[in-house]
Amino acid sequence: MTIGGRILLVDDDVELASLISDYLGSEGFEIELAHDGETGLARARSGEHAMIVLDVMLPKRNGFDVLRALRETSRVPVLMLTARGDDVDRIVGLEMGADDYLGKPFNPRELAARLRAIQRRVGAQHGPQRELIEVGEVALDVGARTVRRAGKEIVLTTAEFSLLELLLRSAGRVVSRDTIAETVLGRRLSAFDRSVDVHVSNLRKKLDPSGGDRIKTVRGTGYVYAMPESPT
Amino acid sequence: MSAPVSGKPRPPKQWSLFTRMFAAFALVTVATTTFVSAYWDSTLARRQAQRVLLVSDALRLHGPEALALHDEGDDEGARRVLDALAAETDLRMTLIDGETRVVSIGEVPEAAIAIVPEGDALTTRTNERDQTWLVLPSERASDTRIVAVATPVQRSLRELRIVLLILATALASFFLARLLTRPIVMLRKATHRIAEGDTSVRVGEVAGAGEEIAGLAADFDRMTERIEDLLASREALLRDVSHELRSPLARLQVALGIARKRAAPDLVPLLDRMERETERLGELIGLVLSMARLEQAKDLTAPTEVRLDELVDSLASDASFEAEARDRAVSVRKKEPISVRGDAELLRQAAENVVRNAVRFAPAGTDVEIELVRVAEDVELRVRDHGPGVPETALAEIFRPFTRVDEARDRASGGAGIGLAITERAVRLHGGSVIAANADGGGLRVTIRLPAVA
Repeated sequence: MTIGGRILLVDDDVELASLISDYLGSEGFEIELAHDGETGLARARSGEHAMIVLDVMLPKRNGFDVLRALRETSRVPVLMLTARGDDVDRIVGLEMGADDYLGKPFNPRELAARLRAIQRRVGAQHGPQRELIEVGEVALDVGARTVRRAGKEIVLTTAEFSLLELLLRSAGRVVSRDTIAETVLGRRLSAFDRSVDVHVSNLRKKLDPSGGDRIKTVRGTGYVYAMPESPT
Repeated sequence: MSAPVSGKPRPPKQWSLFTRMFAAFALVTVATTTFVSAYWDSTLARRQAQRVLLVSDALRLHGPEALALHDEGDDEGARRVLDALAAETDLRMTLIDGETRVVSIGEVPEAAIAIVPEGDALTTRTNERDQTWLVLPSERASDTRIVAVATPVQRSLRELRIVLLILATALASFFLARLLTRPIVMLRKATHRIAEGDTSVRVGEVAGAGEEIAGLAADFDRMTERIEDLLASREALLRDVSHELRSPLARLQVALGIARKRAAPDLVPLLDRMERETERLGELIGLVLSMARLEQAKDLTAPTEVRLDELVDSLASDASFEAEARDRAVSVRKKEPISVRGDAELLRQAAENVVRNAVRFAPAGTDVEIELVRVAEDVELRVRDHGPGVPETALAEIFRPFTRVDEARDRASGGAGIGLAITERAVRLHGGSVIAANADGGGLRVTIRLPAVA
């Protein structure tokens, strides 16, 4: 039984990649392997994959390069495998539009859990609901997975989309960082994990390049989507 | 390392090299001068006698001629003879005929004139001031005579001269001693900075210090270079090993995951254990690499203004979450709105490691207290626990990677001791310092000090 489409794993460590492939295979995922950046990018662009697992350290083109090039044309969810001890890498990956990251070495159970969380988010796409959430000039189409601000489409990653959906549904109320992590990333936030904050910061930039702050930080608690001052 | 040096007994007070050199030079000079002048003085009597003998001979030789010329009425001739004699011998003298001083050269006291010569030979007297009076009677007229005064041989030194000489000696000794000790003082400063951890120090050329000191300086620089290389290669080795360990560890972890799926139930606890240990290894490798990268960093890449009070708040709430699970609490006791310039992620990590360390050693039921206060131009972040503290002698050690302060304490808490090393490097990169001290009433207080944004 395979679930949720094929996953592309790009990692130059052939032995590791085949081990991961074994493990994820037994978890019900279907895996395709690529061992360098160029092949990885070419395969990722084919649009045949439900998710991409992308290592940062790659021959020919590194993971960031591949991610940047991929994001020009595709919104396919990407999980970055960053080198543990490289705190800069994980943030950079998220900022460049990765949906999540995992520091290498990692526990394969954790990898499977993260992939499932991403799948769940994407899976919502195929739901029958034709729901439109509108707050102020921002409109989010749950079924079509599109976001428009004043009629103009904003391109979001799946993580950003889920985050915005959650915030809009609770517009005017504070959503804690823990709730965001569990709903959006599908996991409990370990202490000192900045993933949620990076996603929020990316979303802020995309929603309002001019810097007007629709999403407010509530210190020590979480975030709140500000209700528009004069409801439309 | 910015931790205070404490606990070591200070060596007994020593005189500085400068003082010793200065004293030695001055002492030798004064001693030599004193000795020479004493020797000179001891020969004084003999030289005095020689002088008297000398002037007596001169007077005996030329005196009669002057007296004869006076007898012949040629006083001018007598004066010429006596002038010539005076120029040669330094004698003051007078030619007396009865009561009249016919020729006078210099001051001759009445007491000398009053001397009655014995017969017609030259009579000499020496008074209490070492002056010698000489009386040469004329062979023909008993009333006519030459009275001369020989000034004593000078004592070599007089009081004022001694004082001046000592002052001059002292001054010369001072500059000489300074000249000699200056390069040593310079070397000492350099050594001190190396001891503080700055191995980039070089002494360079030492001008005008002589071959020995210049050689010492050159050797010193070579030695420092070697220390720097050794330290760098030690860090590099740790980094490279950790880096290389990552790939096999990643494979091992995935293989373990696969093994778990196929394992008989009685193997599961063992595999759980293996999994936990590989995770620990992975964490450790990550920390070593973080530290190595920090050590290599010379500057912050993109410093921004970071609100420390906000950072402390979010840190405290995250840490409380972890701590409460273990019946400990984290509380912010004091806080001011303060910003610093730096890397938010790094600063967070630096503070986090200190807080985590405090939570780890805090006994159950106690608080870890955090304070954020402005101190002059700086900001201080203090984290205090109520744990066992650290022996005074090991306070600086805790910022070194993998230093074991206390075997029992480390084992009980499973501490690998690298978090604080990362803190120290991150803080140093921000131009700050971190100090550990035992707090009054027990427990450790770690203080991070950073330059604040005004």
